Amino acid sequence: MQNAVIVRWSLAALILSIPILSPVLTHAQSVSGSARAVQATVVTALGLSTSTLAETGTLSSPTDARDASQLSGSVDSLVTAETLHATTIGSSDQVASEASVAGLAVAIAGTSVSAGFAQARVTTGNKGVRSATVHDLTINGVPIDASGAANQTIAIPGGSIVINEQTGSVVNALHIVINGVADVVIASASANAQ
Amino acid sequence: MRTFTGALFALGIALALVAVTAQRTVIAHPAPCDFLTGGGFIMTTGSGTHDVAKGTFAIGGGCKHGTPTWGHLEYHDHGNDLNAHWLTITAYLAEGDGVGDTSIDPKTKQPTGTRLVCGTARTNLYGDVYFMVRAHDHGEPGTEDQFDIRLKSQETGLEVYTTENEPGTPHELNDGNGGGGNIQLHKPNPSTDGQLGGDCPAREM
Repeated sequence: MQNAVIVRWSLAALILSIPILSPVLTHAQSVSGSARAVQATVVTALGLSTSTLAETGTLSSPTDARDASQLSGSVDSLVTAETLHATTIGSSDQVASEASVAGLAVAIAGTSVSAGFAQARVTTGNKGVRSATVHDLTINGVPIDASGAANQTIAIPGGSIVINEQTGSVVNALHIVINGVADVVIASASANAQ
Repeated sequence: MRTFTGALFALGIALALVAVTAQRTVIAHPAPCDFLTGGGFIMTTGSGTHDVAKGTFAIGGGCKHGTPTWGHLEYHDHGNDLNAHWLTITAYLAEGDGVGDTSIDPKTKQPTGTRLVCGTARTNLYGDVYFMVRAHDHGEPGTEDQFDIRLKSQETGLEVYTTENEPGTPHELNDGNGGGGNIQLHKPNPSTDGQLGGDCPAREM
């Protein structure tokens, strides 16, 4: 009889704990996030060579917040940019990542790309944000209207440029590919929370 | 049976205590410190020191593991070729009385408001300086977000550069029409049980 009472009270305590604990338990989400201002991969005689500028690395937990910045940066004669930055911030139920560069100049295999400013942002959640902004974009000196639409693609000799590239949990402000020569991503942000 | 019921009873009590503790933890930290990030450009004369030119920036500020020292600053004024690269973050503050203007963007459910990010920086024109950035997140799409910066010489204690004393201040990011970019205020994460605060020498007039 005494045991039965104890069991009943124990079960009652367990049941009462569930709704109180549920916010704590649901906060234990799996999160991932990263951001980088520039990533350039070029084909060399020895294979692929990848360089990055202002890269946060990967978010380690919901309590993590990572950032990286540079006043200016360059990758060989391929890419130059200024005020580069990247951030990724975790929280109990979302991840927010962003990356931006200003004064961008890219020169690959006879194609030049410039932009006054480029930024990518991703925030997870029901009201999440996935966007990229590119100001004063030119390709070989010709002004290009960045519409704001996702995956706006422009053909260039030997490849393509995608503006506001969105694939899965990743947003890239600019993705420049010259087939067999180079692959350059400008302002890339990734965020995922499950 | 007695062992089982004893263990079950202990587990129930332990979980109840954890639940109560978790509730109390939330109550004990009602306004933890948040984060601010942003990049963009303003059009500035450096408060009348040169013709209108772009001032490009990258800014981060906030509290990580309880201290308001997370962040960075990069700034380039194209009018006088001033460069400023952050060395330390010493404060992260709400504007005004310390309570600030924090609100919620109904579109994104993210916080909005104004923050001051302070620290030290190395410049190419004024040596090492104290800086204060005032950044405002007005919500999406960011065209009314604001950015301004003030630098004070560490050697003399005098203000050597600011974007605050010119027409059009505070500078809005206007989507390419006089500025561009975005400032984003982020809610705190579980590491930020600290409060807004820190030292901001550039703020003192």
